[in-house]
Amino acid sequence: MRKNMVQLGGRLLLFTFVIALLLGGTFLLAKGPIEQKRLEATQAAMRAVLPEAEEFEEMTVPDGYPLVTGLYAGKAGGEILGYVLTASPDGYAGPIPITMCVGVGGSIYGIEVGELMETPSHAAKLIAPPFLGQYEALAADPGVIDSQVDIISGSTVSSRPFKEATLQMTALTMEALGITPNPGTPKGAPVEEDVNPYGLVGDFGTIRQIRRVGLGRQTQRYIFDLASMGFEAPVEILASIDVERAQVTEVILVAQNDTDGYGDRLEGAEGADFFAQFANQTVENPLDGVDVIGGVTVTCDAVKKGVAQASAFYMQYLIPMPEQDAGLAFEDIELPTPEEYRGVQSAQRGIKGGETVLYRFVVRTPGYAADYENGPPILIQVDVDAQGNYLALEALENPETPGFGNKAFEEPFTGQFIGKSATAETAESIQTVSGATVTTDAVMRGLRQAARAYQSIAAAVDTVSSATPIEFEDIELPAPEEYRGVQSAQRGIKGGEIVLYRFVVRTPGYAADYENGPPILIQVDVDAQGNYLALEALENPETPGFGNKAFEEPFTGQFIGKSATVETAESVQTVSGATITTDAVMRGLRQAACAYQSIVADQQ
Amino acid sequence: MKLGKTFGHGILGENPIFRQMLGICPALAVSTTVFDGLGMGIATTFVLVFSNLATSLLRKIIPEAIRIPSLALVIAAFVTVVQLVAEAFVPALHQSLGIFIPLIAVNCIIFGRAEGFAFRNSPLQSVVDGLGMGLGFTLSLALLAAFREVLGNGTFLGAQVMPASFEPMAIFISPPGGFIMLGLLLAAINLIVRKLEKRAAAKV
Repeated sequence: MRKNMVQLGGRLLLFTFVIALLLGGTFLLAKGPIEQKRLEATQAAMRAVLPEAEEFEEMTVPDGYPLVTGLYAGKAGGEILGYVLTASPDGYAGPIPITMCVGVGGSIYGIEVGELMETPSHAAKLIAPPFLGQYEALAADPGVIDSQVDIISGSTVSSRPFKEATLQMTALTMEALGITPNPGTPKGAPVEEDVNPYGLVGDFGTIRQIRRVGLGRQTQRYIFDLASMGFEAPVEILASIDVERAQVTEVILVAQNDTDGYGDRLEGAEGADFFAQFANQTVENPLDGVDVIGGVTVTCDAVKKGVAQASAFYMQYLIPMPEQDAGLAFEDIELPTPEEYRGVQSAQRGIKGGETVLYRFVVRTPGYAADYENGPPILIQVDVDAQGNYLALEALENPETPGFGNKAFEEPFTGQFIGKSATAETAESIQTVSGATVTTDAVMRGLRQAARAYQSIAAAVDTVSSATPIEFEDIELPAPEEYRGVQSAQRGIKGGEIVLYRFVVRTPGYAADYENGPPILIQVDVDAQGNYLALEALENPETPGFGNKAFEEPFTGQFIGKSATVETAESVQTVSGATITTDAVMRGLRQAACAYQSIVADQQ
Repeated sequence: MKLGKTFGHGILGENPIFRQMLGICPALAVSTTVFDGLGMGIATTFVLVFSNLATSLLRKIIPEAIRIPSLALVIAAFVTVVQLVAEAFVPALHQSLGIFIPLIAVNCIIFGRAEGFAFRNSPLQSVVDGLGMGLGFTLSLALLAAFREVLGNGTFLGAQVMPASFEPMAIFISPPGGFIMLGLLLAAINLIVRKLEKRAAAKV
């Protein structure tokens, strides 16, 4: 038997040997052409990203950039024009060969993607202009790439490593080659095309420029410079909108080049009558009853279109918010440590009926205009309520590109922090808005500064008010068998009044269920109004990195501030990746809610 | 068995895809264009012919106990050869077939013919069988791919054949469309075969 096995093994070994020889021979034959093809592909990619180079000299890739596989100096006439870097990060289905050139000027000169093994639809997205075009002429700075290049939603598994590789490539050119990043000029012949700068937010194609007329922060009117296409040529007009009256005050003709005999009729007495019709029209209905000149309808309609767009733009973006501050008196606050939040220009206390109801901070924060266009910074006004939550955000001066800059003051963005505690952490947890990254990032930094300022004021106030600390006294639970996990219940009393209820609840999580460990011990505070006030872990045996997710903002935000009822607890969504722990905490909250409700019922 | 009959079996009577339902995975995956289908067919035919030949030549010295590993070795070796040659000399094909070249090694047709036919027949018979089966596989793939490419993309071998007004039915170049088209072709071929059989029976 053993002899037989040795014999069989030997024969198999022999077969393997012969086959290895056969494959070795084939490989020798194919090796040359394959290497040639690969070299040609690399060379072609290098020439594509730096066509001006005559030769590419291979250099050693410095340590510390694991994704970068090759580094070449592209030269012409002995002079280095740029550096070509290659990388092959792992995508969804295999390596993604990237060839990128960073010019000596400091910008990304060209970027190419080689043969992809990705699913064709994903591969197509990766090499399509909306993604790859983001890199064009960008400053070769990982920070810039990180903030300006958006990965492809739906193809994250491929586009994320792609971006990661380009971050390393640019880090290499900056750190190891000492190239100072600079935005470059996009290549290729200049293309003329119509631009509709407001196309993203609505049809405002006739608006060329908007001027604000005002005294200090008080805006009196806006003047819209409009160019609207007539029969043959655009009609240029100015439309003035009064802020206080919310009316169009005046529309005047600047120039028209329309067909002789038609357009020029706007310039005469007929035209004067036509334009006079716009005076005192409301911005809601600026064209109401405006008659066109018979025979000049196309040109007149162009004027009407321009006025309508100006009014619509004013209504959508410029109209002042209704006065919220009625009955509020403001007094200035001396900031305790202004050097810690230099952007904060002023701090005020809003007082109503003798009580401080809000804190108002005016913060200067440089955005896109300041960083890239030598413009002024954004001036924001941040209100924090008496409970220490962000109350409102307003732009006092917003020099950012319209349509982008205003995204920082609209709901999807502001919803991330309004109503949440005004802390630096809240500000830092805010996600920037894709497409308005620089502006929203600037606003986020402004919010952080406001939070610091607020905290320093609050700390000063706290030292006074904490003179009367909260005193706790135990409560006998009316029906402890209904919420067995509740270990203790306390009443927090301050100045003779109940300010909170505190429950300590034991709830078995991952450690208890799967690792024979102890349960989680949580402390749940419910305020006097019956809302969840705070959640804290007294003992947390869960795996670090997972267990703590149950005590962090995205999870706790689901119930803090909401009524402490079983329904609220049950509506809490578990956190993916920490399901068991968050589910356990949810059960704990439910028990605390039961206990709280039974105390309330008992008191009644 | 006569050589002609052996050859013909693979194309019609025992066509691997339409009659034996073998090798359906690559048939569905690389039949979106006729070029890919033909390329895959030729690559598979090459492996079939040579693994059949090698198996037949070695059938007397391969002990029964190590038959499976030996055949696997032989087949894998020829697949590697195809892959190297394709990468070196037909890079366009190598690029479009991608992962499906190495997967030829696990195509049931290859193993099935090596074990079921070549292990029991002479080298000449085995080569002819490999050629027939390979041709049958190639023709089936090309037929399936032709329908899918024309209907799903409006082209045949890359050239526009449908009028500009034709809206390509993209489903046919997607996996579900592959299944649907294969099912339709199977139904049609079964119908034809049954008619032929009936006619033959009537003659007898």
